[in-house]
Amino acid sequence: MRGGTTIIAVATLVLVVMAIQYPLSTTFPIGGDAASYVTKSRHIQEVWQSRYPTAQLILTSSALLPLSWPDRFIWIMSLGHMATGLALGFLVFRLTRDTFATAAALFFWGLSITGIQRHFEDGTLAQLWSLPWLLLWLESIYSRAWKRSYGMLLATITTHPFSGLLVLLTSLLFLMQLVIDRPAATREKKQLYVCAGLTILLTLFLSSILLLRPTIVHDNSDHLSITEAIRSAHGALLLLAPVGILYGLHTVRSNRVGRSVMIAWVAATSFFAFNDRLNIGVETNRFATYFFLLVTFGAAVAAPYVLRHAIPLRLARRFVLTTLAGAMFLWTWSDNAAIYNFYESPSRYARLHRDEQAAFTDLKHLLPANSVLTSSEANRHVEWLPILTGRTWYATPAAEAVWHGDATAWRNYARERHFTHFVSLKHTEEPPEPLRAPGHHFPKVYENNAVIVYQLL
Amino acid sequence: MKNIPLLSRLGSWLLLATICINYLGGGYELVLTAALISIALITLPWITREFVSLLLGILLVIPALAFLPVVIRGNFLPAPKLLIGSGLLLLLISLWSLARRLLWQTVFKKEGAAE
Repeated sequence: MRGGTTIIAVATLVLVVMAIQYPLSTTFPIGGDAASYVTKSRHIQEVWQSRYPTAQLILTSSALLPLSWPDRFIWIMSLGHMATGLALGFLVFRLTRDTFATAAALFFWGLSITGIQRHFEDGTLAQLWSLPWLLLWLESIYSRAWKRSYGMLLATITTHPFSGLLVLLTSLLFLMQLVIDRPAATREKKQLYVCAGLTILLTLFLSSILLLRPTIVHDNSDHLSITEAIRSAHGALLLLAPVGILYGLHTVRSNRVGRSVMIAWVAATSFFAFNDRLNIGVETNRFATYFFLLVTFGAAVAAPYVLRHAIPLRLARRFVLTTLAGAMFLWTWSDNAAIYNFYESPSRYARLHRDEQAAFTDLKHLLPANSVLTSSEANRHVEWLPILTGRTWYATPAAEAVWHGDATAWRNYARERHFTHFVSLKHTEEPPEPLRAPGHHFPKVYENNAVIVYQLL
Repeated sequence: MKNIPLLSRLGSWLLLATICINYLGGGYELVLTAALISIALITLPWITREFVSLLLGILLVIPALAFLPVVIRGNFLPAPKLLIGSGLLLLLISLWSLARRLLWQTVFKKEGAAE
C-alpha cells in the first residue's frame, strides 16, 4: 500500500508541475478565446447570459485571488487541467482499484497538456473545465449514485454544451442497453423508461439550441489524424488505449450498469470524434478532446497490465518504469517549454504583444473614464482592450461603409455610435487614411511601437 | 490453457516493443500490424462469453457505421446529420443489446438470463 501511495504522490506531483509550467513560463494568456472568457466573467450578470455559465462562474470566483484578470485566467486553466487529471485518476481507481493504474492516469493526463490537447493553446477554458464533471458523471453512474449523477450531468451541460451533448448521447445509449437487458415488468424498468424519455427530450432540446446555430463549424477537412497522433510524443497512449478499453470492459463485466455506460461512452465518443469520416463534419476539432480523454483513460488502465505481464520481476519493472516515465516527463517538459517560448516571443506575435499590453495599460490612465473605444477586427488582440483599459470597446466590423469613407464619414459614424477614440494595432494594420491624413482632424492622443490612438470626438 | 499466460506475456512484450519501434520511427503499417497482433495476444485470456458478445457487438457496429455516410448522404445540413447519426448509433446499440439478450435466453438458458 505504501508503494501505491508513493507512486500516486509522484504522479500527482508530475500533474501539478506540468500544469503550473504554464503560469510559470508565460506572462500573458495564450489562446484566442481567453479575452472573451475574461470579458464575460468580470460582471456577474453576463455570466448567466453565457453559453458556459458554470465555467464563467468558476472564472468569476477567481476574482477573490489578488491577481490581474489575465493571470487569473492562466491559473484557472492550470487548475482545470489538474482537476481533470484528478477526476480521471478517481474514475480509473474506482474501476480498477489499482493504484498503479490511478498513478498512470494522473501521469498521462499531466503529460497531455499541449500537443494532443489544445485547451491551453486555444484558451478553451469552458471545455477544459467540463471534463472533470464528465468524468465524475461516469464515476457516479458506475457507482450507481444516481442523485450525484444528475448533479454532474447538470454541471457538465452548463459548463460546456458539447460535453453535455456527449453525456446525453452516452446516457441514451446506456439507458437503452439497460432497458433491453432488464427483466420485463419491473419497477426499475418503468423508471428506466422515464429516464430514457427525459434524456431524449433533453438531448433534442440541447441539440436544437447547439447544432442549429449559424456559427456551428461545418468542416470535413479538420480530420482527427490517428496516423499523426501515433507518430507524436503521445503515440504510446494510442497504442495502449485499445488494450486498456477492452481490459476495462473485462474488469467491469459483472457490473451491468458499469459495463453498459463504458460501452456507451466509447461508442458516443468515437462517433463524435470521427463524425467527419461519416460524411457529417460537425466541430470535429472540438470533439477530438473527448477522444483523447478516452485514449488517456485506456492507456492508464492498460499500462500496469502490460508492464506487469511483460516484466514480472519487480525491481526490473521499477527500473524500466522510472526510465520510461522520466524520459517521457523530460520530453514533454521540453516540448511544452518550446511551445510557451513560441508564444512569449515578441517576434512571433502569437499572443498580445508586450508593446500592445503596455499601451493598453497606459490608456487606462490616459483616457477619460467615459471613453468609448473602437477598432477594427484585424486580430483578436483587440478583445483585451476593455479588460486592460477598463473602458468600453466595440469593434467596427469590416463590412461597415465607414472604412471606405472620408473624415466626415468617420466623424458622423463616431457621433452616431458615441465612439470617442479609435485604436489601431500597428503590427496588423494601418489606421484608416482619413484619421492619419495631415490636417489633424483627429488628434493623435497616444502612440508607441505597437499601438496608435486617435481621438474621434 | 497453460500457454495463455505465456501468450499474454508475449503480447505485452510485443506491445512494449511496438511502442519503442514507433518512437524509433518505425513504419506506420509495421507498427499497426504489430499492435493488432499484440492486442490479440493480450486479450486471449479474457475470452469469455461476455467478451465474445462485446467483440460481436463491435463487429456489428463498425461495418454498420461504415454504411452511415451512405444512409445520411443527402441535402441535409451537417448538424441534423449528426442527430440522424446519433439515432442510428442508438438503434445499432439497441439491436446489439437485444440480440445479446435473445442469445443469452436461448443458447445460454441454463446458465441464467443475462449474466
